[in-house]
Amino acid sequence: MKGEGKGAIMRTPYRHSCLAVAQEAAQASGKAILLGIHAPG
Amino acid sequence: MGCKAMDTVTYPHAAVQQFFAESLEPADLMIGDPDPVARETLRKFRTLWSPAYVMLDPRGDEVRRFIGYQSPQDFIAELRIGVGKGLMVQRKNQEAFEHFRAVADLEPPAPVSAEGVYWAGIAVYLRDRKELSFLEQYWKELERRFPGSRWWTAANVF
Repeated sequence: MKGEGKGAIMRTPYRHSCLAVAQEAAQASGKAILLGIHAPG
Repeated sequence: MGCKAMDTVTYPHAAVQQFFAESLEPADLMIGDPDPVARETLRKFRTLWSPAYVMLDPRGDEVRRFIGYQSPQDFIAELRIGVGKGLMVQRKNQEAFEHFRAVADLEPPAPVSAEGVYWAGIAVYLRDRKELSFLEQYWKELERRFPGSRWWTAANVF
């Protein structure tokens, strides 16, 4: 999955695979998008 | 450090999980991800530190950004402000008000509770197309509960 790197234990729950997919879902649901940016490790 | 604490403390919290399921379309990026799409997204939303959170409305326009470790309660409060602003963009001012008011009414207050009062007033003002004087009650609430806060200063010009 994009955005999932070495050392990641658990990232954002219920996450989409990338921003484009989240945006597509947001346009359908009307929900806000949360983009989490993390450091590896 | 902050990213790990978010992983181990904040994300697993049941209230955070529920808020994500109900109110957000989330995605993650890892700094240094070699994937070209991820690299382009990281360039677009350049950040100085992590963990960083960028909130976008459904059209993809940025409505909020915050940084660093957050306790589950403070994280949800931050998210509620962003969700509310995203709803205001869609003119869903009543739903936005409910998120802002929930943040404003937290006891003990969250670091963003004063901001919740500020936006709650504006959401009702926009919802009902009130006179500007309507906002006075919210500004007085800021004065009473959060004197000296950045949001009291923002409201004090009225």
